[in-house]
Amino acid sequence: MRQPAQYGRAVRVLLVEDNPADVRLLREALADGETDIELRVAIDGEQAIDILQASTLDPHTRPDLVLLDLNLPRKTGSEVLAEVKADPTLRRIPVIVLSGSGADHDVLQAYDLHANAYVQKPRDLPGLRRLVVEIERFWLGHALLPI
Amino acid sequence: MSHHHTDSVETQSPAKDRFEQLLEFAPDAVLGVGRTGLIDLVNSQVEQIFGYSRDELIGQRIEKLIPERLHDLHESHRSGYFANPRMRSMGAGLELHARRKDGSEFPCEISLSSIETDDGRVALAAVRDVTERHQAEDQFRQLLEFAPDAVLGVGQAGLIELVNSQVEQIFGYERDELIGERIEKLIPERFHPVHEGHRAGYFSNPRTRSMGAGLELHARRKDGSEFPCEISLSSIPTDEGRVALAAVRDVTERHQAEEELRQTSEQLARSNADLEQFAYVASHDLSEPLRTVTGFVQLLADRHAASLDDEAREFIAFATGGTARMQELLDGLLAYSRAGMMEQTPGAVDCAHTVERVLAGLTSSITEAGAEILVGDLPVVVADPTQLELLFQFLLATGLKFRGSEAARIEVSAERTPAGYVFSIADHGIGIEPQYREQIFKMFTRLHSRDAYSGIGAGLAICRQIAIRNGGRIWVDETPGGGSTFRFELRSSP
Repeated sequence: MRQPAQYGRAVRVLLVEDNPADVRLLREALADGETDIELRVAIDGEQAIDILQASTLDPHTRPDLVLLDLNLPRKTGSEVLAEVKADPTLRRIPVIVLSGSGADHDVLQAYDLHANAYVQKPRDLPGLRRLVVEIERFWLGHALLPI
Repeated sequence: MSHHHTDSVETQSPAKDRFEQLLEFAPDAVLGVGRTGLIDLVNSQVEQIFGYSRDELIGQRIEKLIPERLHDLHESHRSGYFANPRMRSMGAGLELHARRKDGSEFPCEISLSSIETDDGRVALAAVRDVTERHQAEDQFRQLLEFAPDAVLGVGQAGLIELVNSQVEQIFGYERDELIGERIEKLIPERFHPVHEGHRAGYFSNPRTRSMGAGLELHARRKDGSEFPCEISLSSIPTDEGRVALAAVRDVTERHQAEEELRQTSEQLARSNADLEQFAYVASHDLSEPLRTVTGFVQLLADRHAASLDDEAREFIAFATGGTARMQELLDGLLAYSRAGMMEQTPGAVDCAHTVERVLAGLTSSITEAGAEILVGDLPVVVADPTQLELLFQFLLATGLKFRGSEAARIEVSAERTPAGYVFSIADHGIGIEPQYREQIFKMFTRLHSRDAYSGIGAGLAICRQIAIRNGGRIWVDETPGGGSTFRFELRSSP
């Protein structure tokens, strides 16, 4: 009993992404997906932290999964990641870094900060759709989540 | 001590006897000459160096031992000496010559002294044959002239005693303007106090060393201009005491060359780093809007294709093709900048294995091209293994791609050079016209339409980056009989 679907509710995903185009494309891809997902969007790093901290007070808003871009205004994705993983009330939430960068430096740093996965943003819509399906199948199917 | 003058040996006094015995111990030939110029006394060294026996000299005019051309001069000097018979050297600063019995001459130094005898004052002349020393000095001077550096000899008092012609050249002074002058004449004034102190210090420990190690030294020319120099110090003992030798080398040109080299390599490093940084950032930052365009054009096609006419669908196809192309270009740029920024982990690479692996990876292209690939003996070199593999892969793929209408035939070989190895990947394909053989190693250079050959023109630019990063170089020649031979040289040690 470790998947939201088994509790009869939608999966809560927090997308931290400042580029509205990317947000829209991901929404489209999620809409075509197999899972009932409740998407919240934070458009910068500070907002992401605010949402996450507020959710510790109300378990019904706590994200099951975070999709985190690295290149963010106000507070970078790395900073958000570091804060989340340093916070005992938040650190169990799986964070998947979803970045345009495939640079070794960014990948290694993310894992050093205890990212749960690092995925480079697909370059086209079919790629994004495949990624969404893969994430749903693995993270929301096979993986047991800390809920 | 008194000297009793007499021609007769029997009547010689015990005092004179002792005096003459003493003279025998003197290292020099010693002659006693009376006021009238007659030789009164000789020691055995006189017999040796002049070749006369004692009997042939006693009572003879001293001029017998002097070259004829100097007789008149000597006679007047001789009278002059008796007027003021103090101890001194004869003809200070002049080169003196004496004549042997056989008429030959030799250079000599003569010290004069005098003693009072019963028969009046007798001048004593100690004669030293300086032939050998002159030869040694001549050799030394010649040697100095051969020295590539300006060499100065400086005495303890700081006066210049010796210069070679290189000194005249680089300082602009004539020899005569320097001999006897203070060495500080050749040093910028602001350094005088320091130099005087150091000079005194050097004589207390006159070992061979360079002057002011690690400091930038400056010398001053006659016209007051200065030049940077390096100075080696040494010293030689002379009759007049120790002389410091300073070999001065004008390093103006070397400094300029070093400075230019430093600036150039700095600029190069900076512009390379800038370029790579730019390419890296650009390819990442450009990817984002490209992803957006790609995504939405695809979304448009997905959702609305049915409601669009053929022309609109054609436009969408062009847009999609453009974004795909843009993505390829960005990938190339990224690969290029990565090749330039990649960390080097050089190790011993067995090129035979590397090429084997590359060929295995290219199997389908090789089959498709119906290619025959001949691999010669390949050495082990020091390079980054991943990058070297990439290099072989790019070059072999290039050979396969530009094979022309016939089945590809590619020969891979290596040749030892003084610096390391030159590798050759020779194809018999379409070849490259001479005027393009440098250009093709630049980023995004293409010689053919996209219809004829796909690609973005990044491969060879990346090869060049890899070759350079591994301390080598790359170029292309024509294969005899047609086709291209790509060659790259790698040094055998890092």
